[in-house]
Amino acid sequence: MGFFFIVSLHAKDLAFFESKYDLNDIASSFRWNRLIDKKNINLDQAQEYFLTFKNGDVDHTQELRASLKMLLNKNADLQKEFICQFPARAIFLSSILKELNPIDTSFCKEYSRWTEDNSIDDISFIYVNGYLENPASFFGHTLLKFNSSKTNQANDLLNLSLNYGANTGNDKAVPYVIRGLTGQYKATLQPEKFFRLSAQYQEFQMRDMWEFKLSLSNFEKDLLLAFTFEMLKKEYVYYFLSDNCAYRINRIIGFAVGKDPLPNLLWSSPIDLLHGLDKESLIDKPSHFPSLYSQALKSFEALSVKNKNLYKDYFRSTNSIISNEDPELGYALLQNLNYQKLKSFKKNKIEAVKKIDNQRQQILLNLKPKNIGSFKYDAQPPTVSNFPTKVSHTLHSKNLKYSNGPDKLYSIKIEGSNFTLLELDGYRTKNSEFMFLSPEISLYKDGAKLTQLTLFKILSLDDALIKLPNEKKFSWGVDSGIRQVSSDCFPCTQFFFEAMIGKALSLTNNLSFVLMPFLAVHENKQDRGEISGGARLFSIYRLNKTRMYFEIEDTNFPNAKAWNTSKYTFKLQQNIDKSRSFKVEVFKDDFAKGLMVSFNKYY
Amino acid sequence: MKKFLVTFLMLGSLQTFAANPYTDCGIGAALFPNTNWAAVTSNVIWDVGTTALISATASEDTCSGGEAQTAMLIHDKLETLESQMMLEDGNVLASLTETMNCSSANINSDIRASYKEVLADKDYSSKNRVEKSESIYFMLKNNSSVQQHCSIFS
Repeated sequence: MGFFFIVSLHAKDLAFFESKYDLNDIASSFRWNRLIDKKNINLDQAQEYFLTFKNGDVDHTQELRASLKMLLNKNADLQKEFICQFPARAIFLSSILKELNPIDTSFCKEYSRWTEDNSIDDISFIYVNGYLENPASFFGHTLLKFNSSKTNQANDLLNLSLNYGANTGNDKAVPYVIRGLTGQYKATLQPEKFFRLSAQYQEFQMRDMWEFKLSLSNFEKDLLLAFTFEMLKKEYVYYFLSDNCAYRINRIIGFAVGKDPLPNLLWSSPIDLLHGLDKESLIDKPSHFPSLYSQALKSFEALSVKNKNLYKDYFRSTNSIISNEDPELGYALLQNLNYQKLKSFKKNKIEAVKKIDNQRQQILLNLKPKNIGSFKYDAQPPTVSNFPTKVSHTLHSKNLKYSNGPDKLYSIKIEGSNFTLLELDGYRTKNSEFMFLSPEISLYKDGAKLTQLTLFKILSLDDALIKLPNEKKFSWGVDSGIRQVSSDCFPCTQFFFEAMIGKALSLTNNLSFVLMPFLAVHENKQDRGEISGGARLFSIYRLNKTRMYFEIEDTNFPNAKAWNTSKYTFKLQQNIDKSRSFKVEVFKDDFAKGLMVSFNKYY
Repeated sequence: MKKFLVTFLMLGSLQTFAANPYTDCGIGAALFPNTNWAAVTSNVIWDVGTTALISATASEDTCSGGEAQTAMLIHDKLETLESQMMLEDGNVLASLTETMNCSSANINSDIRASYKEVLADKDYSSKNRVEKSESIYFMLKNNSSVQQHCSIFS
């Protein structure tokens, strides 16, 4: 086979291909550009990545010629060496240059191991949702999984995953943020068995994972495997916002299918990539990998009433002994304790870990064998949420008590990869908000002004109807940026930072009430001082695609009591589909009342 | 980088362990490092393979073979595996028997019986994660059913 392969290639030489094909055209094609792309690559080892690297650059046509020469090389060993080092180039070129035989990589030991002897049946795209204890994870995370026919289908844990991320060396928070934003980290593709990533994300970080099989032809699958093999050698410069996991996974999938699914935005976001894949029909229905917390909650929910009471009694009493006649009760308790243990382990609370392990040991010793089976989770996949980037067009009409400010305004607000309480949020922690660098510009009869800029806002209500009995959850939030001082002046913006903490109560799965005291520091505008505080009492009602929100906010200015005010706000948002919604908002406080009507478009 | 590639690609190697993959390959040092805020972000890889190899005393080939993979699986999925060994059911337990190259014979009840003896040690709960993983690893290695039906330690 190999001998025949070499003999038939020798029938044609480079001159033949140069006369028959426009090599310049091939060299400027999407896939060849992707293969030779050197953006953000650490070029210290450029000689390993390119054949014609010179003076800090590589010419795409010369590189193509050099690659073709190697494929046509009369020296069989050199030819094989090229194929084994650059299988993606070889496969791509043989698909374009028809006189080249299909590429045989069976003699490539390393590459054969990579493809597990050609046993990769299909490839999955995995989306890991964000979790609000760690701001850097809000955008989510993506990775790929190679599903081999050698692995028992029920034992997905042993399949290979491909992860991409920065090597941060355990930097502390401030240097981590600065270095991640400014490209001071190197990043690599890291192959790992899926069980490692399952442990890391589902158990250590308490995050849900969603697996979507990619709809690829055999050729596209081969291209993807070969391209990732070539990428393993490379080291990249990591930029948290733009050259991150979403960017690199997008480039891998894009190379395979001939077009990048990630929308062309200033940033690269995992959820944008997921929606892009969905839009291009490149993904199938998902499988859900719940976090350890979700598993603990579900196993408690599934207990009988009697067992639920025993479960609660166990956590109420430190000396409680559980009769383990029922493995389902023991299993549910273990799941809870596993969750508690890993939470404590993460915080390095060694004594707490020992205490929990002692409890676990007692339950384990008495646990009887049983097929627990699988639970049905209600979780919605990330693809049902609104598209991540939102542009809001709002008409404002206000009645101002004292001020002569404009009573009619039009504003436009942009939120990229953000979400609020009123969006379709399916897979995310229910009733949570995340906003980042979101400006609002208002137009009025005298001009245009920046009326709002959210630098960073997180809100986590933790208002689940069912909680683990021993879990103390509270609502919290932070907000920072530029906002209007009050509703009655315009324009009168101020820099501010606000922190809030409180408690939420769910009456039903659809209705929550929240009390959130807050404290803010801000610029001193209109003699209101630099500190204000107060409380918000609000409720959220969700019914299918409708969201209703009612809030009473009481704000006090210790140094300017004349400005103290109580504000009442009602919002109704109707989400039409993933890409459109409209909202009506009315408010009244001691200085103004108003009506806003918004049309929101999601991209 | 080449180290990563070689590390991964040597999986399935027939190299066997005489000693302890946890100490010889540094397993357990990397996946759950001393935490700080940055270390647990979504886009961070703390180079599990590399860190393990840096502290390894055994060869790269040995530390990427089936025994090392078994040791890693036990360590990473410890809590779930402990539950599933006693239940004699579950995906992590199934992955464990697959990674040990076990035949189709059902050895779960024998594993359970041996693990119960490990659990009965009153000092077990006070062991740290690596020590517990070692206990389970060597329990499996010395289990007669594993020796009979699984080829990983032979």
